[in-house]
Formats: sequence, structure tokens, C-alpha cells
Amino acid sequence: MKGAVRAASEGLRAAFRCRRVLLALALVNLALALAVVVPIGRSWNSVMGHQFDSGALAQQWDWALGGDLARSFPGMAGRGAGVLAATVFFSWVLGAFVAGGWLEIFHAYEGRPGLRRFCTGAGSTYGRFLRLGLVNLAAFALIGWLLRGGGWDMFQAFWWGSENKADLRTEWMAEGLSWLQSAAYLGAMSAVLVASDLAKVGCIVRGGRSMVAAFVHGLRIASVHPGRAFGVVWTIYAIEIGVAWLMARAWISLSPAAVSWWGILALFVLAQVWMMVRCGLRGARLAGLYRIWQEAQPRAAPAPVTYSVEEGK
Amino acid sequence: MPVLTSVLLSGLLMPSLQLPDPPGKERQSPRTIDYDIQVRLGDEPRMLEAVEEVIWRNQTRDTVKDLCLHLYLNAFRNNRSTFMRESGTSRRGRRMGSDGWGWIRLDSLMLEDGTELIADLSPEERLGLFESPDDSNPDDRTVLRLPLPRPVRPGGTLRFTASFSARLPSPPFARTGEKDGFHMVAQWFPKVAVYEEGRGWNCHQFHANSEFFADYGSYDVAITLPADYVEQAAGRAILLGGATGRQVGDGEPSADGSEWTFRFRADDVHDFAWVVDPDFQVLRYHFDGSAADRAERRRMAEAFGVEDEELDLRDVDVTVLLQPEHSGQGPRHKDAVENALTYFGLWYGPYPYDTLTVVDPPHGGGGAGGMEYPTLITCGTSLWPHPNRYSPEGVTVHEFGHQYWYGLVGNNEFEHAWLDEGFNSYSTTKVLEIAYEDRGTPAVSTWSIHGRRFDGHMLASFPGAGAPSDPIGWLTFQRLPWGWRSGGVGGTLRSTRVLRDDPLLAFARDLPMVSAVAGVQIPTMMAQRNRYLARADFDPMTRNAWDYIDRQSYAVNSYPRPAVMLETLSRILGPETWARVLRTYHQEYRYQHPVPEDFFRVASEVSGRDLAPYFDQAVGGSGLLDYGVFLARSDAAQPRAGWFDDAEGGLTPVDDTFLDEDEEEIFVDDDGDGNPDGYDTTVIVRRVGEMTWPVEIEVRYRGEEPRRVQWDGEERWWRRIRRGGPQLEYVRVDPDRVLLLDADLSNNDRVLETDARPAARWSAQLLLWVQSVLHFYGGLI
Repeated sequence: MKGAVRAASEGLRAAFRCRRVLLALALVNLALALAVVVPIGRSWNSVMGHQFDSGALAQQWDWALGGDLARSFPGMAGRGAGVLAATVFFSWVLGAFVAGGWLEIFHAYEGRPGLRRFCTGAGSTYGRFLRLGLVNLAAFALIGWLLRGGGWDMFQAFWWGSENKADLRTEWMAEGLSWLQSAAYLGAMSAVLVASDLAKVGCIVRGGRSMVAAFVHGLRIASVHPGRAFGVVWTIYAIEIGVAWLMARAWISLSPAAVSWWGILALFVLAQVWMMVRCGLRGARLAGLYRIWQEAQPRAAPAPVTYSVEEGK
Repeated sequence: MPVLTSVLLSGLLMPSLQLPDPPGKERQSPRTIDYDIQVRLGDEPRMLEAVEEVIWRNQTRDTVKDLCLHLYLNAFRNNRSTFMRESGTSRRGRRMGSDGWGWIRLDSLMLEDGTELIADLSPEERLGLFESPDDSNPDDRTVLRLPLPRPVRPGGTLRFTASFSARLPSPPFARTGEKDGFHMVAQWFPKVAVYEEGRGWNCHQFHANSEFFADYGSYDVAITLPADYVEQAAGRAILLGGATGRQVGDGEPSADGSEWTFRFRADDVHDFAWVVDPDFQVLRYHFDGSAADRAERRRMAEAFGVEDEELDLRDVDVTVLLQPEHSGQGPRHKDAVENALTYFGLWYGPYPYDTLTVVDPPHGGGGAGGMEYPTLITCGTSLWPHPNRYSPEGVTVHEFGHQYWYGLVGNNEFEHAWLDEGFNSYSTTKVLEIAYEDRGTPAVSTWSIHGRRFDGHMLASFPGAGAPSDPIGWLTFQRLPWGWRSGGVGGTLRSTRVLRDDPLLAFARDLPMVSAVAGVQIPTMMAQRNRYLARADFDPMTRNAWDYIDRQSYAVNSYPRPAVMLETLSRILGPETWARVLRTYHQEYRYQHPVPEDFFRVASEVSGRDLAPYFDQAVGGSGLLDYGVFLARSDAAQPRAGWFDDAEGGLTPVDDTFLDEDEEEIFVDDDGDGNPDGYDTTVIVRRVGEMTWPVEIEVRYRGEEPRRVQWDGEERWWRRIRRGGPQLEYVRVDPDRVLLLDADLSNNDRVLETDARPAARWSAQLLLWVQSVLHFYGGLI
């Protein structure tokens, strides 16, 4: 575990050194999100802006308007859904680019971690990482089927006699089984993410074109060094949860002040800082696993030291 | 005839065991019918063997030539019954299992004079007795009509003895059934329908959307069951269960001690249910009627014009039958029951029975939960109920409320479901508001993992399910109302079941996304209104329960829409008048079978207003009520331009204009010098919906006091033009929000000076959520 914490710590330092990269990633995220939010916000403004007690509405949602707004803008919701779907897809494919960029920086750590290096490296691995993303999706689908879908239903029916947890004898049993199922699910999803990231590291360091092979190799490293590999990821997650909690407290504290433009601006800035932090944490995860991957490689046997003795001289 | 039945029947044919009315307890209801039943929980699982002796009194002026019986349990007999066809064999979150079917079989029906009407018939003749008056379904066996050899004259009495056997569904399905020893025994005996003078028997089939209808009377029921259901405590045999009414005497063991018999008696009720579970924890409380909320009693006494003491409540013995897993929730049930007894009692009249039993069904027995029977209600809860939520209180108060709306005011639930469910939804909301005003319905601030509620801040989740009318989705952004669940990309993803909506998945996939709105609560009546908007204009309320366009329309028109309709009416009439309306209606129709027109009449009489137009539209119609500001503009007045008459009779060119082209306009000359400086203002309010009702409009100009005008709302629009004068500040339609039925309150206000802060603030919230979603999916690769 100590190795995992050390790797995570180094990963955090490495990622948060790259301020320009973080800023660029957060801005791209913001731009995509704005494409979804701005049209919706304008529609809201056409209604909310004319309300009698708009100040109170800024501070506290008026529930009398909740259903009405939804009824007023069914078309807007549909359009928003389309834009969101497109941006989600774009974010997903962009994820391959971002991962490549981060790893290029960490791989050539001695150099200056600039945006140019980030983009150059990202471009060189983009196609492979995109294919790796498809492997991830397949793995997610399999895990979902096994642990939360039909596979689990069959397992449960075989073992407990019913697909329905309501048929179990007690609520405690059902709860316990749910937690067990969820823990397995969470573990498996983490394994896929860890294996995928390790596979990316392998691609950068060793090269290779088969993403399935790289994924399997990553899975092998994760299984051989579970403490370190999962430890890095969960250390980063723990940090993210902690920061999220702080962020939530800050957001809640600022919300009453959101009746003023300064308050709204403060919420906006807070959100962007938070997103930058999250981008950095994602980079840190990759950096930490990069370190773990290196440590997991079999060390070459030291070259035998040979001494030549010239006898008789 | 089974041996057991023969034994029971032989016992029943002995002199009647009917108990006299208890001393000091006067007859409250017409007592049209008396049941004397002996039932035994059989050796086979879920099986009941029983004999009932029935006395039915013909209290009409008709001569009755046949007898109609409900055999409700046959709704669960197979997948061809009307209930199962309508429900798709699934109800209350449970699908009927392969061996879960239940049924009831009437083996014998013997009249007082010994005439047998069933046992001697051939199988074909027996089948011919069933009928399906609602849908002509030849496979439905829930209504049985027996021709009587001798008609029952007006004032006459029909006595018969019926033996029957029944099998309960498992697990509990649609209110009744068995699971792991828990038996919820409801709608379990052949039940005589209601005879309506001039109309005959009112005997509908058991539908997926319908409930029940029966006459008031007395029940004397002896329940025999295995010793597993009996606990010895303090030298007494305690039944691990309960039933309608009060227990008579102690339980009596059989000769070998393997069985016990408990006897219950209930008067002035129209149904009888019982429940047993060897796992029950039995908690008993005593409700002290004299300690009820004195401030509310004072307020009600003033409204009714009576002395406080006249509103005194009766003491009630409350029994809570809890599952061991929920043993810590007893105080919450107690608190909910006491609040319900208090406020229902003060508002509508004291709860007239001595006992109340609250049942907590076991895990997996939720099909029996959330149901009402006279003096016995079933609730529903789960592990770890959140302190800030209405669970279990919401269900407990609601089901208790049915003691008043269904139990005491016994409307026909087949034909007028809204009369009990709607009145009760309204009343429940009012009790929750007054008793738990600090809670509201938490909407934004809660999220769940494994059904356990957390609040304070919420992890936003993947855009998931949610109807377009779901306001929670809009605000929390937890469930945006677009069709991820039903189609498109989301549908495709969901079909893999990888990204389906699931609490833990929501947690995992959003880890750690933050939505972060603290402690926002939705007022309970607003929650009713938002539910009503989901099917606001699909059906009138006045339909048979099975005749709505779909189940959601039935639910909306039976629960939230009438609740909102009543709340609107209360705001129209004012609190004191409204309190008198409801109490008068309740008191006048206690132990009666009112129809909607009865309530309409009482409301108009008590309020002194002709409310027929309101009820015709709000209850009998399906049109929306929606008034909104169509136009509100206030532009700088144009100066006069052109040639105008002068004082000498000639024409003079002038450069300011002061038009008065509309008959309705108000000519205002602010400074009296004829200078038309100021603003030309036009206000148009439109009736968007079909329903009409007088509505108040408030207009305010800068520097002036707000003015209110009453518009009768009949025309499609209302217009005011004001030339000159100060600039318009705002227009508000229904500024006091009297018309809660208004289907779109967002168009009621028009402030001329737009304020972008609300949209910006909530867009910032949405932005954070969308950014988090995008970030999350970017990390999945």
C-alpha cells in the first residue's frame, strides 16, 4: 500500500505541474458543456426572467414552476438530449486523446510539460487508444451482464431460487446480497479501468498494436500487483471524494448568495476550479499507474561482473 | 364437502353465536348485513376453510329476486381473469409467480329453510352462475349471481350459510396473500354486493384499477390457526396478528393444543380483514383523545361555531404489528397514528372505533402493504428510514385516512374512486403539512444507495428516467426528462443493462460528481400538483376505475388531481367555510354511500355559492385550467402627429397624441395639462385552457399602488390598454395563487424588467452537472 500511496503522490505532483494542460482540458470541457446548457438557459430565462419574485427564484427553486417549466419546454428537452448525446460521445472519443497526451508527458518527464508535447503524444496513440476504449466498453458490457444483468439473475435464481430479491427471507439478506453484488460490480469496473490504463502505459512504453493483448497484459499486471495497482486508483478516488465533499460544502455555502451576480459568478468559478482539479486527478491516476507499470516490469538480471586476470604477467 | 367444512358447518347450524351490541355502544350504521364466520387456516399452505352465516336485510322498497356475491380472490385464479388481463399479471411491483395463484371456491350455499343453491348443481350449472357485467369476460369468476327461490320483500331478511375454501396468492399480490408464514387475509370471503334501490345489485368485477364497495354491518369472526401464531405472555395467549374490530375474550386452544381460536367482533364496518405472522413484534399504545392538539381544536371549534369540548376525541387502543427488522420504527408509526387520529378527528369528527391495528408487512410482502380495511391498515417501510422523509409516516397517515374516506364515508370505489382516494390524498397532505411542516417532501437533497436515503447534497447521476412533467428531474438534474430510458442513445446503452438506472451504478459512474443543492424541500401539496400535471387533461375524474385511458390516468384522477381540485376549492372558499364544508359532508354521509353529487350539494349549500360550474369542469370535465399573461408591454407614448381640431373650429397641427381608441381604456392625464407624456401600455391575459373560472389580475405601474381586477374568465382573452401614464411594472394573474389547478403557473407573471439571475443561477447548476457527465464519460476510455 505504501507503494501505491507513493505512486499516487508522485502522480499528483506530475499532473498538477501541468497547469496549462489542466486549463486547456477544463476549457474544452466547459465549451462542450456550454453547447448543451446555453440554449436551455436561454429558454429558462424567457420564463424565469419575468417572474414576480425572481430574486427568491434565484435562491430557491419555486416548486410551483417545476412541472410547468417541464411542460413548457418538451421540445427543448429533446433538443438538449440530442446535443448532450453528441457531446457525451465527443467527450468519450476525446478521452482517448487526453490519455495519450498525459502519458506522453509522463513518459518524457524530463522535458517541459507543454501543450505541444501533450498534443503531439496524444495524436500518436489516438487510434490505438480509441480501439482500447471499445475493448473497455465490451468489458463493461460483460461485467454489467454478469453482475447486474441477466447473468446475475441466473446466478441468483440458481443459488437462492429466485431472481427477485424480494423473495429472500429477510430484508437484511436482500440488503447484504445487494451490497455484495455492488462491491463485486465496483471491483470489476475498477479492474477494467486499471487494466485499461495499464494497457495504455504499455502502449506508450513498449509499443504494440493489439489492444486486446495490451488490455490482457494490463489485467495481468493488475492481478499480480493488486495492492499497488488498485491502491493507486482508490487513493486518487479517495482524494477526489474528499475534494468533492469540500466542493459540495462550498457550493452549498455559496448558494444562498447566488441571488447576486457575484454569487452566481462565484458558483461558476468554483465549478471550473473543481473541474480543473478533476482533470488533474485523472492525469494523476495515469501518472500513478505509469509508475506502477514500470515497477511491475521484471528487472533485467544484473550483468555478471567478470574480471579478467592476465596470469603470468 | 371437505370434512373440516362439515365440522365447521355443523357448528354454525347451531343457534346463532351473534353477540349483542356492547353496552353503551349505539348502532351507528344501517347494518344492512351481518356476517358470522368461522375460518381455519388449513393444514395446506395458504389454504382457508370457512363457513359464513349471513343475514342480509332488504332496506329498499324493491323486491329482490336474486343474490349477487363478490368472489374477489378469483381475480388471482389464473391469467385470464379480468384483473390479470388488465394488470398483465403484475401489480405493486410484483409479478404473479408460477405457483402463486389464489382462488376461492364456494362449496355450498344453504338458505335458512334448508334450500341448497350451489352444492346440488352440475358443474355446467355452477359455471352459469358467474357473470361479467363490466367486460363480458367469460373467464372471470369474481361475480356470482344466484337466483333466489323466494324473493326478499322490502324490509325482509335473507339468511344463508355458505361454506367455502380459499387459497391465498403467494407472495402477497394486490393486497392479499402469504409469504413465509405471513398471511394477509383480505377480500377472502364471499361478500354480498350492495343493492341499490331502483338500480339493482351494484356488483362489479374485480379490476386491476378498482377497489371495493360493500354495505355496513356487523362481523363476528372466529379464526382458528396453528399454535405457531400464538405467544404466551403474562399468562395470556397473545395472537401474533390482528383483525378488524376488537378481540372478544382470550384465545382458546384446541384439545391437543396444536391450534388456537381467536374471536373478533366489529360493528358498523363494511369489510373484515385479518393478518398473522409468527415473526410479528406486537406493540401496543393507548391514544389519549383528551390530549389532542388543543390549538387546532380551538381553531376548529371557532370555525364550526361550537365549544371546544364538543370536539373532544375518543381514546383508541393502537396495536402496531412490526417486523423484527423494523423494530426501531415503532415510535414513528405511533407518532403518525396519533397525528392522524388527532387531525382527522378534529377536522371531520372523532374516530368512532375502539381499536386500530397497523400492520408492517415482511420483506417481499409489499403486495400487502399500503392498504386500508376497517380498523386495520397495512403500511410499508424499509430498513433505515430517513429521519427527514415521510416514510413510514406518509403511508401510515394515508391508510389511516381511509378510515374516514372509504371506511366511514363508504363511497363506491369501483365507480367513484376519487371520492375516497382524492379526499384522502388531500387530507393526508394536510396532516403531513401540519404535523411535519419541517419536512416537506425532500426532493433535491436526497439520493440513495441501495434504497438508503442520504441528504445534504446529492451526487448527480446519469440522465435517466423521468417524465417530461417531472419537475424533480428539472431541478435536481438527477433525472433529466428526455428519453434516455425509452430510446435513442440512452435506450441502446440501457439495453445492454450496463448503464441502466440503478442507485449503486449512479454512485459508481458519477463518482464523485456533485450537484449540491442543500435542503430544498417541495411543499407536499405542490408535490401533488406536479403529479397531477402528468395526466392533467386525459380524463374526467368521474369514470369507472377501469375506464380511464391508462393506469396512470386512473392514478392521477383518483389521487393528486382531486387533491389539487379540493385545495383550489378550499382557497376559493376560505379556510373556515372550507372546514365546515368538509365536516358537514363527512358527518352527513358517515356510514352512507355518497355519490359525487352529494358532495357537490353540500359544498354549495354550506358555502352559499353555486359551485356547480366548478364541479362540472374540474370534476366532470377534462379541460385544463390555465390563465396566462399573453402580452404586457409598455412603450414610451408617441406624441400626437398630424392635424387636429382647434378651439376655433379649424385644424391645427400638433405634435403629441393622446388616443382613446378602445372603449375600455382608462384615460390618464398625469399632470392634467394635456401632455401625453408617459407610456402606452397594453396588457392581454389569455385563457389558455378550456376550463373557466373567475380569476384575479393584478397590475402595477411604477409609482402607483398595485390594482386588482376580477375577470370572469369566460372569454378567451382579456385586454386593458392605458395610454400615457407611468410605465407598467408587472402583471400577475391569480397573484394569491388561489387556482392551484392552473396547469401552467409559469405564464402567470410578467415583470417587464427582465431579471436574468434565476436562469443564470440554475444554468450554473446545470452546467456543473453537464461538465461532470462529460468528464465522467471521457474517463471511460
